[in-house]
Amino acid sequence: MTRNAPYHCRHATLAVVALPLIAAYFVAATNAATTQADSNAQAQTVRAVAEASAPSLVRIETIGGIARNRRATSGETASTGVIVSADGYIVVSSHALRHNPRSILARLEDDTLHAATVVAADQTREFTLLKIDATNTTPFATIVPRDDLRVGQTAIALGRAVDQRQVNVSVGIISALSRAGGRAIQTDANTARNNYGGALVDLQGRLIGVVVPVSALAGGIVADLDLYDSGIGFVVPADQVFAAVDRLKQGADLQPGRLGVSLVKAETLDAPAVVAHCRPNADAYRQGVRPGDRIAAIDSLSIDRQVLLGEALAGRYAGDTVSVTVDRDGESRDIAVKLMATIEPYEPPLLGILPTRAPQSLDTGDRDGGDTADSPSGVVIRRVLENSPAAMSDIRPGDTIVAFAGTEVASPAELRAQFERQRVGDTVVLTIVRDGERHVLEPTLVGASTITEEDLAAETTSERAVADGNRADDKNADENHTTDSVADLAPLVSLDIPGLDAPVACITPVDVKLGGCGLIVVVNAPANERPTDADQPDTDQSNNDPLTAPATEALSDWNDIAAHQRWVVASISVSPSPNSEDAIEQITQAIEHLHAHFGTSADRTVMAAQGDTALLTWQTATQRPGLCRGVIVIRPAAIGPVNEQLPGQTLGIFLSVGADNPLTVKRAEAVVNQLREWKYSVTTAMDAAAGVAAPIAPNDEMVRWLDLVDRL
Amino acid sequence: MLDRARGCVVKIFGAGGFRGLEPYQSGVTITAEGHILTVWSHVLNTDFVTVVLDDGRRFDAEVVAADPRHEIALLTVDASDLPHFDLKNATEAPVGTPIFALSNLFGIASGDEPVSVQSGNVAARSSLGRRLGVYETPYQGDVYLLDVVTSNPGSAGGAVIDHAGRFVGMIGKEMQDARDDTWLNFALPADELASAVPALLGVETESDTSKTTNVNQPVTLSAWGLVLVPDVVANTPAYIDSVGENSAARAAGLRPDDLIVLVDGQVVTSCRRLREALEAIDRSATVQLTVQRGSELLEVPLRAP
Repeated sequence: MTRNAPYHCRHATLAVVALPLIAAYFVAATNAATTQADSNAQAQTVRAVAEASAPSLVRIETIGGIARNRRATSGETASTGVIVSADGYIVVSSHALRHNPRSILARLEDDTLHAATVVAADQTREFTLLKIDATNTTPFATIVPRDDLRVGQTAIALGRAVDQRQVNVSVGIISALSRAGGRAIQTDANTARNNYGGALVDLQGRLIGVVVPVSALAGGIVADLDLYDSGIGFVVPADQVFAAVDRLKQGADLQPGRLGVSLVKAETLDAPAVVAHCRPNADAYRQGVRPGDRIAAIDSLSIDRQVLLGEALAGRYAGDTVSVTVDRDGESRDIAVKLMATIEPYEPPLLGILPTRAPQSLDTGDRDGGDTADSPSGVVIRRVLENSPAAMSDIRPGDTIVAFAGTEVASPAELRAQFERQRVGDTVVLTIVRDGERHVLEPTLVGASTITEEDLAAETTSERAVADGNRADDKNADENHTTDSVADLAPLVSLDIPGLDAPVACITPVDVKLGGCGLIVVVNAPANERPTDADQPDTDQSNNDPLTAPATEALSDWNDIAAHQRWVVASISVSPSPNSEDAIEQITQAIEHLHAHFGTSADRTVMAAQGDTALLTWQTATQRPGLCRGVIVIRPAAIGPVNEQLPGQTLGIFLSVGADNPLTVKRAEAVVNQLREWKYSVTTAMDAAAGVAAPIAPNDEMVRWLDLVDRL
Repeated sequence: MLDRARGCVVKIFGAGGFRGLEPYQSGVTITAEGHILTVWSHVLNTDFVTVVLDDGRRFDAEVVAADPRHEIALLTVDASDLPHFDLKNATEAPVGTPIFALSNLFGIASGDEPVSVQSGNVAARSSLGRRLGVYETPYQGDVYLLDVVTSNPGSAGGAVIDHAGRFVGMIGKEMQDARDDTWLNFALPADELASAVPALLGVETESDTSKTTNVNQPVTLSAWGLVLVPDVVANTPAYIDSVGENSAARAAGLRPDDLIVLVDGQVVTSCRRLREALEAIDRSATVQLTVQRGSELLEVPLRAP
């Protein structure tokens, strides 16, 4: 065994020595029978290539760090780095550094040892850029453009992991040109795990790529090294390596770029890429990509099938801008979208105000005419939440918001429409009128979930001064008003709603016809499907038998809240088989019917249910986004799936679990955590009522939550 | 050419057959008079070793000698005029040489069926001794690393030849890298075998025991005045915790928090590896330490007082 002779001019050497041999090899290889001459020619070619490449290959050894598992490198194995610049930049497989070593040592061909520092990693292609303090390193001079490669051509894997003194070789072929969404070339040359990070070169010694364990499997994440001696090796194409190196020199990792859309579930392999959901915090959403859009092309690469979308984006980095061609309503448009590394769940913003619930005139046709000095158009604020942006910029109950973010707003609905365009962290300019004077305020919106339960619960004394609508807020008023409230007792109404078997019992405020009421829909299982006493042995139901109680009686607990907080409360019966399209449609129809009948608003629409029906209610709320503003779920059998909220279609949740059932409590905790991860506003309470069979009745916590459901 | 070579590779059957230990391996004939060279293994650990030639002839074999340092053994069978590899005419195979590996891998060949042939290249020639403690073998000499999967049951003892049919080496036993579990595909080079065989044949050669370093009084860290950080995890890097006053280490300029990365040019990846390396160095020797201080590497010669 001899040391490689130093190459003062290795390119000349390569040209002079290797090329004739290559020619000889190719000529010889055309004969059917392998001859000894072939073998000699191949051996000499391989040696020439290995020697010519030697100055660009370094041995990487690491010290310290913790191996993730026994199967993976324990951190004591040497690896190979590929020099990519004359000033000491080295590319190594990230696999070799997986154990996060304390020290990385790079030994060059001349046997000099250097301490290397990590510059940054390409997380999509699993290699890391290292830097050593050297100014005379020898990068590979020539790379093979991927277009010049052919499947079947000879490829030689080179490393320095086996022995510092010589380059180890493995001769194979190119097995495939595009793997893992174009990020990798496949070879059958041996890329055993301690050779990861080595170079793959062609017979002329040109760099084909850098060996990494990129997997074509499971979405192209790191192969867990199971393929390594199965004749399946991967290399990142050299042109991609060098393109990434230029960016990695900035010192920041390159991360996979995400578009932030999910597609409509494909029924067939050739299903088009139709957007089912677009993450509100993704740039795609900001640039206008919407559910229902068909993605037709990415950077003029046609996306005929869903699978092509993943492949088109697989090699792209966060920060890259791609041109997304979408078809919408038969029209095609190109949208420039910046890919993102992480996309935070959408969180609705919060200003911290409750708009007035003053009944709107049913005759809203001539709003212009009504906009006089006497009754200024705008939204009166009835309450300001403690420690909210509104409170901190001195917005007070009784102020009238007349303009929001530069747009005049005449009604709560108009204010909400403007508000829903805002994002957490936005500073909005709003104009209020207070005591006849205009003030311009600039609160910065916070995340809706950041406000505490305490702040929600705290009621300032000042808010009592402001009437809810044109009625006194009797809940907080003195005893004189309380006696008056008897007159406000809500009338009972029974409605026949198409699609529902039983008539719907409703209670309403006496002045429901003035409009502006909220709607609470209590969803019950039909009487014969409710749990029986046998399911609730501990429950005393002697004087409360829901099997016989008329639905209207079940609403009697809601009288007070209906009368004083302007709610229409309706009780409907729907069979609670989960995921039942029919049941969801029934509830949707009923709510729309009730809106039409009572003039109630979706902004203050809430569904309430318990047990199995709670799951159905949850699914109705999430599968019909925008149908309601909140759900009350009591002792739910389950909640799910939990999807991301969309601007303008946010959902508040009041979750009440039975104290008598620890399993439910534990399950509920998991659900609440999941909901909060997706930035839902969740209020939890213990349900004191015993047993699922009892009808849903409002308690203090629920009443407070209901009062806040239309907060902005 | 391959037919002739296959005639020189025999199937060996012996002990084993339990706990994943196959009762067969391969061997090569090295004389016309029935000398068979193979790898020393559990298979030979019995009184009844059977050798089957490629023409189907079966022989009871006798284990006449074993070389524990190379982990090889010599068998004889009562036969003559056998085709064989002449170790004197063996060749070296530089990196990149295309080779054939001939062995009874997985015991596929039965009766008079010749052994299987695999194709590959010489990937490297390297010393197992340079990776002390990595492999469970006393052999520290050079091996050919092969670019073909020869680490299979039954392969050990098979032949590696070049495309001219010349004997290059003998396939080694299955061996796994203790550090990363990779299987090693390797062959014992013909030149190493050629130097070991005369002793097996009973020809007098000079004793070779001097090669094993036998350190009576190895150097210790405390002799230098060095204390390392507590070795608490499996892979604790060899950071210096403290340097004794008036010690050799202090005089050499070593400081706490220096990381010892090399001992005499060999990387030491942990406190444990450092101590292992020192055990092979005599107390009187001057040791070349390389330490990392920040991103700087410093060479520090040390000698115990």
